[in-house]
Order: sequence, then C-alpha cells, then structure tokens
Amino acid sequence: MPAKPLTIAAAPAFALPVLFLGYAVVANYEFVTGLGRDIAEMPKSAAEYLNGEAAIQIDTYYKKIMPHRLPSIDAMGAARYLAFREGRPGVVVGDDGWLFSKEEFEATLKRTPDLAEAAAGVVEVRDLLAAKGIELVVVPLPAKADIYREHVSYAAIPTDLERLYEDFRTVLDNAGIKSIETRAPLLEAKDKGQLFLTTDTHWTPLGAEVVADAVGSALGKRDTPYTIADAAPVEREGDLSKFIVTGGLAPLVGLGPETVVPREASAPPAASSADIFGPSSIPFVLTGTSYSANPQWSFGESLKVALGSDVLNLAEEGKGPVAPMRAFLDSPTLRDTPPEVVIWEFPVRYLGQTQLWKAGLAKEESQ
Amino acid sequence: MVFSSETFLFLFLPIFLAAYYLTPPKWRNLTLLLESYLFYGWWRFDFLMLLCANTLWAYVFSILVEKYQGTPRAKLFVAIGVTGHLLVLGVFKYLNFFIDSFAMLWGTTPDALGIHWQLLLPIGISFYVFHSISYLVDVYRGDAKVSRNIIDFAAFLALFPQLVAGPILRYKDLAPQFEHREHSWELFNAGWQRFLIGLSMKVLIADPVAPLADAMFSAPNPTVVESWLGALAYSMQLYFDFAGYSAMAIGLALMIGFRFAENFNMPYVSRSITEFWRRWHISLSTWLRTYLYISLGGNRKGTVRTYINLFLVMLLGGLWHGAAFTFILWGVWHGGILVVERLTGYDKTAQNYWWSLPLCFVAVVLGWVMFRAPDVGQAFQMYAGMFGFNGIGIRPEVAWMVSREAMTMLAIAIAITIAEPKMRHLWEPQITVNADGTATAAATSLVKAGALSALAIFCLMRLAEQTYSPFLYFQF
Repeated sequence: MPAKPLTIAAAPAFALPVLFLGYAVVANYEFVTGLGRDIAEMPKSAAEYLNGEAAIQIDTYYKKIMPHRLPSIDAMGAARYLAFREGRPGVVVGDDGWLFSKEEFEATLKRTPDLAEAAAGVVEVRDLLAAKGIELVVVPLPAKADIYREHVSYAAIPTDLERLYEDFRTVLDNAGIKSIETRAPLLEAKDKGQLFLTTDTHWTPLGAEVVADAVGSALGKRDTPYTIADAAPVEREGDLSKFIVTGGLAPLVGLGPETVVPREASAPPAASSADIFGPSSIPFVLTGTSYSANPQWSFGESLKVALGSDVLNLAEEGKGPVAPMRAFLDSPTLRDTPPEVVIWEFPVRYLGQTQLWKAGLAKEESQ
Repeated sequence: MVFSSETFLFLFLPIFLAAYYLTPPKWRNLTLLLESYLFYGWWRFDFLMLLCANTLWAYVFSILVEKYQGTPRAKLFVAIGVTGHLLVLGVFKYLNFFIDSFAMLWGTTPDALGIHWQLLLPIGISFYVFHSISYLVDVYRGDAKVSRNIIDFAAFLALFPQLVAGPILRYKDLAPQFEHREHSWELFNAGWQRFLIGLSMKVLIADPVAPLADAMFSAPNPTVVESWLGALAYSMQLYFDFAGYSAMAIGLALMIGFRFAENFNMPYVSRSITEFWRRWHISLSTWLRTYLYISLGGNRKGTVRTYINLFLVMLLGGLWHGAAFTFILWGVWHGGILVVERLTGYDKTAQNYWWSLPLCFVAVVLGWVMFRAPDVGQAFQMYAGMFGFNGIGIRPEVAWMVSREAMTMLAIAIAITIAEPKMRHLWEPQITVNADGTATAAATSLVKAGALSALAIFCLMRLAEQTYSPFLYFQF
C-alpha cells in the first residue's frame, strides 16, 4: 500500500489509526476467547441470523464485553455529574445530592388520560374483590419530589405533582373506592427524620412507618400487640445513583452508599402460634411495588404494628403496582384463604406509564 | 450495521480493512462486494435478497438498453427498468401509506378493508433504488458506459460506506475508481480523520442534543420557548447526524481509495432556500435536478412549466424521504419558497441583504418542524407554540427535561455552525487533486493528531454508555 516511505515527521498521522486498530485487536481477543465461555449467550437458530435478531444479540454481547466499557461509563458519568450535575436518562438530579426518578416528573405530563384509565382499572379490581366480600383499600404514594420539592429547586417542581396525587385520590373517591391520605402525614413528619433516601427512589423505614400509621388510623387497630425492633443496618447503593456512576468513582463525586436500618415486627408467642394447626386467613393482604416488597423499608412490618394484625405481604419488586395485584387475583391465596382487606400500595408516579394497565407489562425503571 | 457502533468500529472495520488490503488488487472489488453484503445482511440477510434482485434487474436492463441504443427499444427497456425499480420502492415504501390514505378517505381502516400488509421498509432502499435508476438513465442518455462486469456493478450498488444513507452516487462518477483506485498512507489517514470528524459530529453533538428535541416535540401544547428550542435542537441534531454520517461515508471511502463528492457545504449559512439546496444533501438535489427536473422538461418548456416542475420536484423530494403527509408538506414548503424566490428574483439578490441569512434559517427551521413531527397535527401544535398561542416561557413540567448537557452541546453545535465558514480547514483533511488525477493529503500536525485522538477517545467513551442510536437518515 505505501507509495512513499514513512518518516518520523509523518508519525502523528499514523499514531491514531495504529492505536485504534491495535486496541481493536485487544478487544477482539477478549471477544474470541470469551466466546467459548459465553457461547450460551449466542443466538442459535438460522432464522435469527436471517431476520437480524442474531445481529442485535451479538451487538449487545459485543458491546458488553468491550474492555473499555465499564471504565468509560463510570468516567463519563462522573464527568457529567461534576460538569452538569446530571445523570443518564432515568434520573433527575436535585440539590444537595438528592436524586429523583424521572418517572415522577413524566407522570405529570400525562396525568389526565391515565387517571380515567386508572379509575376504571381500580374499579375493576374493587368489584372482583367485592364479589368475594373483600374490601379494597388503596394507598396512593406521593412522589418523592413532591415531598422533598425543596431539593429540586433548579428544575422547578411542577405544581402538577401535588395535583396528580390529589386528582388520583379524587377519582378514587368518586368511584367509591377507599383510599388513604398519605401525603399530608408525610409532609408533617419531615421534621422527625428522613422519609426518603437521598439517592434512591424509595422511602426509608421511617417514611414507611408514617404511611403504615396512616393506614392503621384509617382502618382501626386490631388486638394483636405487635412490637417492632431494629434489625442489623445494611449499606445500600441508591438505585438512582446507578444512573450517575457506579463503581470506584462514586465516592470521588460525592456519591456513596446509604445506611438503612430495617425493622422486624414480632407478635407475642400466643398470637403467632394460633395458626399452626392448619391454614387460616390472614385478615390483611398487602400488595404493591418494591416500596412494600423490599424488606429494607419494612412497610409490611410497620403495618403489622399499626394494624395490630398479621399482614400477608404479596408485593413484588420490579413489576409496578398492577401486575402483583393481578397475580394475587389469580392466586390460590385468594381462592383458599381470602383476606378481609386488601391494601394496595400504589405510587402515583406509575400513573404516567402508558403500559400500566396492559397485563404484566408495567415495569419499575429503577430498583 | 451502524458506523457508530462497537461492532462496526472494532469488529467489522478492522477485519474489512485487513481483508481488503490483503486481497490482490485484481480481486479487491469482490472483497468489497462480499463485505458490503455482510454489512447489509447484518441488518437482515433476508432483505439482502432484495438488494441482489435489484442489482440483477439494473444490470440486465442496462445491457439491453445499451444493446438497442438509438432505437425505440432502448426507450422501452429503460422505461421497464426504471418502472421495475420504482415498483419495488412503491411496494415497500409507499403501499402502506396509500392504503392507509385510501381507507381514511372512505372513513374506514385498512384492517376493515382486509388489505393491511405490514411491510417492513428495507433499510437503504431509497438510496440503492435511486442509484440504480440513475445508472439506467445515464446508460440510456449515453452519459455512462454500461458495466459488463457484474462484480464491479454490484459492488457499486452495495458499496457499504454509502449503502444505507448515501451520499447518492452516480455510477459514471465512480466507474473509473472501480477500475483503478489510488491507495496511499496519506489518503488512508485523511479518510481516517474524516471518519473521526463524522463520528464526533454524530456521537458528541447530534446524540446529546437529540433528547432535547425529542422532549420538546413530545411536550403537549409547547410554548414559544419550548417549541423554538425543540425546533432549533432538531435542526442541529439533523445536520450533525446526517452531515456526520456523510463525513464518515466519505472518510471510509477514502480509506479504500474511493473519492466521493461532498454531500454538505455549510447549509445553515445559506441566504436563500435556493442556495440552501445547493448546500444541503447535495447528492439528492443533484439527483433530483438531473433525473427528475430535467426529465419533466426543466426550464425548457416555458416559465409557468418551469415553476410547476420546480414545485413538483421538491414535492416528490419530500415524498422520497418517507410516506407521510408531513414529508409531502415539507416538500410543498420548500417547493413553494423556491418558486417564489425564482419568481421574484430573490434567489439572485438575497446575497445583498443582511437579513437574508436569518430569514432563510428561520424558513429552514420551520420546515424541519413538519419534517420531524410524527404527524401533521403535532406539527401544527408546534407551530402554534412557535407563534405564541400557548404562552411564552418554559413550563415547570417541561423544565426538568431541559438538560444542561443538551443545552451545552446545542450551544456548541450552533457555535460550530457559525464558525464553520472560517474554521473548517482546521478540522477537515486537506486533499489536493494533482494534474495527473492522483491525490495527496496534507501532513497532519502533532496538535491536530492529538486533538483527533482526544476526540476519538471521547467518542468511544460516550458510545460505551449509550444504547443503539441509528442515524436519522436510516429511516428514509
């Protein structure tokens, strides 16, 4: 190929392609040697290769094994956070290191159509339960950005965030569905401690307790005297901080794990041994999202104390509020040991999801 | 396969370059063809068959046209050949649109009529069909010699740097390069630099600005600031995306000895829409002028007919971009302005007015709104916002979507666009075509090599964190 001999002066011109192509050799060494190991990830059928699905899978796999990928993601994330105080799509960065889920803000743009659909969806669930003599109680959870709007000053929190919560409760009221006021108690309890984690979508055990107490006050306390105690603290890397930077660079930009102290509720021995001779109904079933399902927040435990009763927690992580409810409606639990009351924890930010009421399609963006 | 993907950059490109340069010169066009087919098949191998059939069709009819050159049969064969290509384009690109429109006219749906085919738009079809048509017409007009070597011809149609999004090339311009290409370290490196500049335009500017355009175009009832911000962001995104793609295509071609014509020449400094079309997607406007405008009679059939032809060419140019009313109206907008400019003589006097540049830019941006909007209704919603019908400032529910990173990159994009006329030589490789037809590229300074290296690293880091981001013109 070369028409002329190479000289030292020409070196800068060739350094770049040589370095680039040299790196390609290194990267492909990993690809080739890893193929044997990761062969299970490779597409198998000829049809997949014909219709392009295989190419997409190989692209994804190839991207994943690039040696520079993770360091690049961390470096870019750190640089973006330091330069712009922003993260990748999915997170809204507030003041003082507070992070918020994009879903909370998106929900406000689409609230009107979703509320009509939401009301119809909840009514359908209520009617199914009512046919079996079960009461439905909805626990709408306000957005974290609504409760801590003072930490999102630059983004100018939409007034709609508050209205979304209120409108949701109004449509539930209009449909004759019982719902619990949670926003006001959360706002009132802010001086007691932090109700939501700084770098995570979720609430703290204190925030969960405040809402559990609101549920208990509305439904009345039964007679099992549950007590609650702190469990061993756990370190949690906030689900929203993963949208900024992960790995070793996080501390350099002022992000780090938060400490969560989960709680465990216990009943007196007499109460807890009542059902050892066979299955009996637990009066309350709790369903909903990771706010209920994740034991670190201890919402189910706090509910036991607030309700003075055992609570069967059927909430699931990563599926949004609707899919776990549908799973419960189809479950043997409902058929064999129906509860008296179903408590449905429902973060209002999900109302912005267009796929929410399509069976099983709602997904939580962040965990 | 997308140029701005790891699979292309680290897998396809090095293997392709190695295979190409290790192949004896005599067989390099075959290597080029096979690798171009692999490049296309990476998207879908089943649709590669369509490209092959299209190639065979153009090849056979070009030979028939040449055989009967100067007789009525040549006209018949060129008509059949072109019609065949247009039918392919019509079926895959426009059939659904016409069926939908027909059903809408009758107040029903395609499903209700039982004629709703879910045809996939083969990527790059608009480009390779246009290449084929231009080849047939050039052979018929005697502007191009017919290609007897099917490998060379197939390699021309499938040439991977331009296959999926142009530039739209003419066989007669490239035919000599299929017979002989010049390879040198200097040209290879110049191509490499051009490719990197294009990659940077796409990855470092167009992609970061895109979310801003997407957010503003999806905001219901946008205000003045929101709608103008969205329109401006999209204008920059489209330019840096498509001009970036073209630069990458030109650079890749240069790496293997081809020299493609430029596709962009600082379009946003145009002072009239007439000038804009000499600077934007030059290969398309050249194609439309050569094969459509002239075929319709050009300006040879009187003044009124000239205006009608001008208008029709732009309308069909709009439709070429996609089967939607938005593209038709975008074509009408540009066609209408072109007619007015020629009617008033403004196309010649625009250079004399200081305000002609901003006026032209605003007209272009207004056109992009229709081009970008998913439907006509949403485009008019944007126009309502731009003209103050929905309030002025950014609303709180939209403010959080205006990211500082996107705004910074938008400002940089605007600054580059403004500085381009004076500073383009700083980043573009300087290639001189010698009297004997050979070309040489200027030496690269240490500073430029360092700057390009930094850009390359930055591009790769940003690519690593982003998901699939095809070029905007892939959809056409």
